[in-house]
Amino acid sequence: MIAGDNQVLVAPREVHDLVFRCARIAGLDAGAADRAGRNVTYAEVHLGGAVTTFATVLTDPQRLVAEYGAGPDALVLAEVEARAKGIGSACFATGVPMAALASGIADIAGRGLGVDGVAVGATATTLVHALQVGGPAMPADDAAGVRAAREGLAVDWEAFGALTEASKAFLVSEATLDEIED
Amino acid sequence: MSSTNLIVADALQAELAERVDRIRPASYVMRPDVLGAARLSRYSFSRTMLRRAVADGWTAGRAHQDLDGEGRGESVYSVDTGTRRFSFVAFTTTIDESAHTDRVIADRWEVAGALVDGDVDDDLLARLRVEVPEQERGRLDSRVLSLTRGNRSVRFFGYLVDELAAGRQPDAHRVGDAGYILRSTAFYANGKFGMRSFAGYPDDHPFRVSYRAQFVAAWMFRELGYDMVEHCARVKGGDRAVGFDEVWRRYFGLGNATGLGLVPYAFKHPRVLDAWVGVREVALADVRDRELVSTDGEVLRGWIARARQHFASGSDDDCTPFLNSQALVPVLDDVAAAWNRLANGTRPYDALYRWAEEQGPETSELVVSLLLELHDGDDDLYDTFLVVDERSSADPTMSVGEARSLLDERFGWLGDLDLDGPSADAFWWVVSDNTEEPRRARRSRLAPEGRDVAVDVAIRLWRFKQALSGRDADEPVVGVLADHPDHRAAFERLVASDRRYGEPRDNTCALDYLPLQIQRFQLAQYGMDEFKPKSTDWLRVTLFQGAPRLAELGPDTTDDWVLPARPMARRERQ
Repeated sequence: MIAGDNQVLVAPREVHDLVFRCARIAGLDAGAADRAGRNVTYAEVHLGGAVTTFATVLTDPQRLVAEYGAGPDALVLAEVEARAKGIGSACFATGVPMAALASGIADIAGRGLGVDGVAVGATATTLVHALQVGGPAMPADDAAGVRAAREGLAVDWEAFGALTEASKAFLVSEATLDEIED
Repeated sequence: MSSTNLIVADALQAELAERVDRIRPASYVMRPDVLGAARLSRYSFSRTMLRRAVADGWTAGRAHQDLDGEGRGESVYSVDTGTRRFSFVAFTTTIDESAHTDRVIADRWEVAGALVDGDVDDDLLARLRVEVPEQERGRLDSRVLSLTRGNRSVRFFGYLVDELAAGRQPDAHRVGDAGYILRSTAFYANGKFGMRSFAGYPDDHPFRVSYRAQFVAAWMFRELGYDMVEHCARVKGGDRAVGFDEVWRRYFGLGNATGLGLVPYAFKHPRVLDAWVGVREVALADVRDRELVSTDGEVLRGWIARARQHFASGSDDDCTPFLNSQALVPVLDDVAAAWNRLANGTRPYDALYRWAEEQGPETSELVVSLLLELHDGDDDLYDTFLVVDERSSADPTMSVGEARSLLDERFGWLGDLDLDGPSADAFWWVVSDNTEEPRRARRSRLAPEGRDVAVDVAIRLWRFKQALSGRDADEPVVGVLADHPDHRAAFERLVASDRRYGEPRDNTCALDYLPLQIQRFQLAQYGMDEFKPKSTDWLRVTLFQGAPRLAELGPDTTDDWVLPARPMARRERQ
């Protein structure tokens, strides 16, 4: 239902599911696409604007794979490095939006390590060029997650529509399925 | 790294751990043919929902109904749990008989309904009037908890109206086996189409229990069927018309048609599956451990007789691969005879179960459901067992050696599935563009191209295991994933699969994979029975048959409403 000017109320899982499908079609494997879904959803809930940010890569699959696949991969490697050496770093040559990293950063914190390099006041669109993993984690507060689950998320109508449309490529036509059935 | 450390210490896991030497092993319980023999039990969702309603003093009834002579219009039912009110809103119409289909892909339904948290004001009703009949194409918001739809029974709706309109009760020979008036197909919830997410229910919310909202909606859906028939009969018959009498007023349940949509859920939620199975196994272990209490012995004898009477009045329709109702009668005779032999021995319930397991899954799972009728678990506690945290965090520093150990502990059974065989990967799972119905596609006829649904758990884990072979045991798994990103989902599943009963030991992609088995398990957990397969992929079932009606809720309402006798049989008894 309509949430306000140019916004629509959606459930968090809807964002996840649409991002997953778009990411699969763009070429990410199932695990990476699921992670992209988690990152965009988490960023939308906690930072806002992630659906809009993700919508900008829908027409550029290579960029989608680079930002939402390779970006979080670099963060994972930084965590592995941090656990071995006490500190690890991830560099993103052209910058990766927080929409592609937010849940990964929270997961690292959940495993007890801090992540430095995110600017104060960052949004889902904010480009990150380098992150440092190590040191103590900041305590997490998921009040926004609880609120989103209870009340829904107000997201940009046009961007959500773009994801909905793009995700249809994940589906196979009923006619095709009927045709190939025994 | 031992599996014990990785079993998450939640309440259910603690109960299972206490009974670790008495619970049934996953190697038996999670076998496809055993899952595919499950039956509704005391801990099925329809039963637990109604026990909760009685225990908490819920009241429920019809708040508003505006139907024409054909049953077309709007109905609103309400339920008051003492702390909150809910409304079930249903929009009814008629469609041509030729347009009836049980498949999810239908675009028109005779009944479309939604369960709403709170009362429904004019604005919301106007919005629901537009969105609910649209089903998957509609947009809802967090006030809506469940969305459903269905059709009338083509065979019996009109007949029931005609009989009541003429002042007669139905002829048991005509409808006794039907079991339902309306047949639903889906109960969407948990964030679909903008509805409230399950995680968004406050801790004290009465529906913060698995599938509680869906089953309240289903119970009201069933009530709507009775009301529609009686309304249409009154319009048609005027003063001659009668309502259903005592013999019939509980007999009809709600039909349901279920397709492949259930399968992905079962394979995507290992901790949920573990909870559903685990609750049953805890209760079963407790009953098997008892010595005979004389009244219990009679109670069990009574349940065996009741089940026999129920199935004896059922059909002999072909229900392959399951036993039909008539075929269950000799099974129950054997169960009764076994109980007579074993009742006076030591640990007789355990002996009965062990005898049943030797007879095969249809017998063992039937006996499990019968034995669970003797269990008197704390419903508050059992409700909490079913609420699981599905979040999982795969530690990227896990080594290849640790991953191999986990694979051996948790997925050692993969070696029994011939996953390198020529027919192991015959199918992939796909979502159709027609209302997003899950289906299977032959890999030889259509390539996935990134459109596959990741429910190919067995194949993925098996290939991940192969990818780990030859790698240095001390190497982090992320090194393998860097070379083979396709295994990332398998690694995450390996970590998330930290419960005993989380994995059906089956390969969803195999040429001979039989979806009916996991479907039956899920449907039994919901509280459905009368499994009537219509193909390898879908089946019809009935739920709430014999259950109390909305107006009957009260402190005297009992939980022994399942397996009702066919009305004719009841009359013959009298």
